[in-house]
Amino acid sequence: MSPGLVAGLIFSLSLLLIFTEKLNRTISSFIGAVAMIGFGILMGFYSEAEAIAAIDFETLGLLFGMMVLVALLEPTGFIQFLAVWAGRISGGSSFRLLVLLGSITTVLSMFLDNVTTVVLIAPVTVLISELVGVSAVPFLVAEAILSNTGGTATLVGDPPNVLIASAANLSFNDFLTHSLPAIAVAWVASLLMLKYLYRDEMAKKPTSSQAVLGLDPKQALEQPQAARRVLIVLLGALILFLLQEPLHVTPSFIAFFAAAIALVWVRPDVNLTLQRIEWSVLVFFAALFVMVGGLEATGVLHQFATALLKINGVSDRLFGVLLIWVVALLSAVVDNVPITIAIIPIILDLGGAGMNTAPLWWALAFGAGLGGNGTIIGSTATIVVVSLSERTHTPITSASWSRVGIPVMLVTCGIVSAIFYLAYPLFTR
Amino acid sequence: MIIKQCMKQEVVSIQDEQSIAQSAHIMVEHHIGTLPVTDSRGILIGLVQMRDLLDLVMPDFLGLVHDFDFVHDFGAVETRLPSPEKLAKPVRTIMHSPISVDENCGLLRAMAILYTNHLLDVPVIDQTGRLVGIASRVDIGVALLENWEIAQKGS
Repeated sequence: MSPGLVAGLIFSLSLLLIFTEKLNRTISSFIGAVAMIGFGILMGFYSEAEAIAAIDFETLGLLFGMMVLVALLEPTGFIQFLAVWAGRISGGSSFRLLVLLGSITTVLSMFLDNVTTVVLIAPVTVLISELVGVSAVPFLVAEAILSNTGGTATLVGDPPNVLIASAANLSFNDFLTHSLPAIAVAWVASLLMLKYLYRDEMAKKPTSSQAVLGLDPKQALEQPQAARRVLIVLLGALILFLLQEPLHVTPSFIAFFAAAIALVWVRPDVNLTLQRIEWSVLVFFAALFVMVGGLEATGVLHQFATALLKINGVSDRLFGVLLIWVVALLSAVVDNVPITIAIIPIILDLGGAGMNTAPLWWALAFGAGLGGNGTIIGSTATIVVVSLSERTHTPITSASWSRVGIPVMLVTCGIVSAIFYLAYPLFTR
Repeated sequence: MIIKQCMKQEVVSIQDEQSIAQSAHIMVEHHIGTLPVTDSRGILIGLVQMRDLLDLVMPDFLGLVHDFDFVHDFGAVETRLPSPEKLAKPVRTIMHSPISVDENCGLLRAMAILYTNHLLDVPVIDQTGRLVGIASRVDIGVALLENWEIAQKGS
């Protein structure tokens, strides 16, 4: 067997394990990485040194720094405070509550980890729905969908964007000028679709809308001082992200810097804070880097890229649109992180062969970010919301997810494809 | 002292085929919080506690948020009733596997079983598994405290 075939098999088998959920995704990628190095050494296509060099520490650093900030914000109760406040000012109106909770989730997801945001907002959502006497399902589905959508808008919003930014040297501002406008349109469309698809639920009059007046947001904010400090640091980090280019620093350094300041200022129990870091995610990423590094070392990704270049008759513009849809469909069925990590070297190769790859990075970001909404297993935020709803009287089923998730995915991917196609020159630089 | 000496010998129980609604009715009628479930031969096969019934109307969010101080009004949940379909189901669908003690069990051992299983009452069975009595925390606790008094008088 050729090295390329062996490496391809190892990678595909790991993806299959992740897809079928036979094994936890971190464990699947971990054994894949070990197998890749093992076979690499045996067959001479990959070494330990190459495996370590394949790990993108820029990505891991940025994720780690942001995770520290989130770990500090989590116990303060700030995110619950926002959700409770939304419940109170909604006055018990379902649609107003959907817009408020959806907007809060979106804004938080643009800067913080989607999963943490949803993990903290969803329980309060169930609480508010029960108090006013409506089903929590539309709100939970909206939060997952809008969290995925919001995350696609910024560099730090979701892991695929972090990966893409690191590989393509894109700055925080590049995302604000390229991704944010298109995603903003897709976001509004998602919200309107949610309003339409849940029109029956939204029309139902809550049985006791006055109950929200009994909610006290201040009591939900458990550590006001720590919350204020972490928020100031987050704001500072945001300003530094905006000034990233003139300052000549990487996003990962900014995240580390902010984490350091926050740790000194808040002075938490550091063991508790570090326990909140999602180590499984970091290990998952590192293992995927090692695996894809092996795949790259065998030259199989290069062959793939060369084959792609030989396709005639497809304009660059259309090629980008196709990439959006291919990545979106793949992301709907498999985790979007391995997809992104595997496609990055292919795009780099295409660039090496002389193609202008600038638009392809955006196509990859759009597909990976919006594709996950299509299925109940398409994104971690969705999985979190669904497993939480299973602990209530009204669980979200695969069918009830698809009724909303599939149309939203198709329409939002359609919208960004149209924007990408029509404003193609803007994405080429 | 052993449990047989302080238990209630008249036990209100229910059969596994009877409905959840009937179990609620029996609890109301007899003002009790634990209902042993028996089969047709009187063998203990399960337990229904008041909590199992109230869980049908308790809010879901209690299991999701660790603190609900900020909720001053339970709103729609306050008047929630279980659905008629749910109430018509047999108690077997919500009962727990039986926790019981033998009629010759010691008092502190019985109390420890109540503590660790978060029970209010513990059914007492004979050697054939037949339900012969039930003892509440107060039944057992009072018997234990009586021992203290006897011991003090004796010294």
